[in-house]
Amino acid sequence: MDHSQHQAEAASAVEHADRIARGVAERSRWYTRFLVVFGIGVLLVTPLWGLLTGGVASVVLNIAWVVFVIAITVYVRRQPVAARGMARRYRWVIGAFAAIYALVLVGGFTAFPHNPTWWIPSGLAAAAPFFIGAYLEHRR
Amino acid sequence: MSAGTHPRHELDDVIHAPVRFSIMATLVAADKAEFSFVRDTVEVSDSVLSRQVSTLEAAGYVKAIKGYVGKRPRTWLSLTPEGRAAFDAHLTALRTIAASAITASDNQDQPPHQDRP
Repeated sequence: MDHSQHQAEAASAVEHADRIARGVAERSRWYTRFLVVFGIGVLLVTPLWGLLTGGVASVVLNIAWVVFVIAITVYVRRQPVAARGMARRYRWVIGAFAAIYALVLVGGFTAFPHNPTWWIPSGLAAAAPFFIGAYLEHRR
Repeated sequence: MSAGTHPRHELDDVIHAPVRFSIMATLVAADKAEFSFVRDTVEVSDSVLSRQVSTLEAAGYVKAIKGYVGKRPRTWLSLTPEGRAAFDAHLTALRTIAASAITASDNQDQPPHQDRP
């Protein structure tokens, strides 16, 4: 094999690897959808959690949340590929969410029980890591 | 020219085979990928992929983890840190070789050297 053929093959192999990487990234876009859907769930459930005063509505909310989390977990487990760095980035998202959520719950239940001025913005704050994560994934 | 300085000497024989190169290219872009996804991406049969993955596992480049999604068995493939480093080095060598083609081509496009009058 002559020198120019080696060079052409090398260029072709690099292009092939780049094409495969683009395909993997494309097939990993489920993660952005997952973050948006999870964020919407948190956005809706967090205020309801703080505003509902118990009874049947709270039970229904808890059951709905468990069903939602199971459904979204099954969705994630069925995905055939996770792009490079996705697990690490998700740990940041879930870590930020956990920290904000803990503040929201502790602050809300101790100082602002059933107070919409606390709980409605809190939903947005708790969901923010998911929406920011989704935005950053979309830009990748 | 001294022997062993050309970037082709940096190419990894295990990775250089086309199917194994494609497997590595798929896995380097992923944290993990399901066996069937890699098979479809590389466009080979189950048996060919199994054989090539075994070779890459023996080299310490790939690890396979078996599990279940519901009741369905699944095999997840991922690169080891050694595999990732080896593929990066291999790809760097390929890029160097390809870039030398561009440089050579650019040089050929230059007008021939003319002596000053």
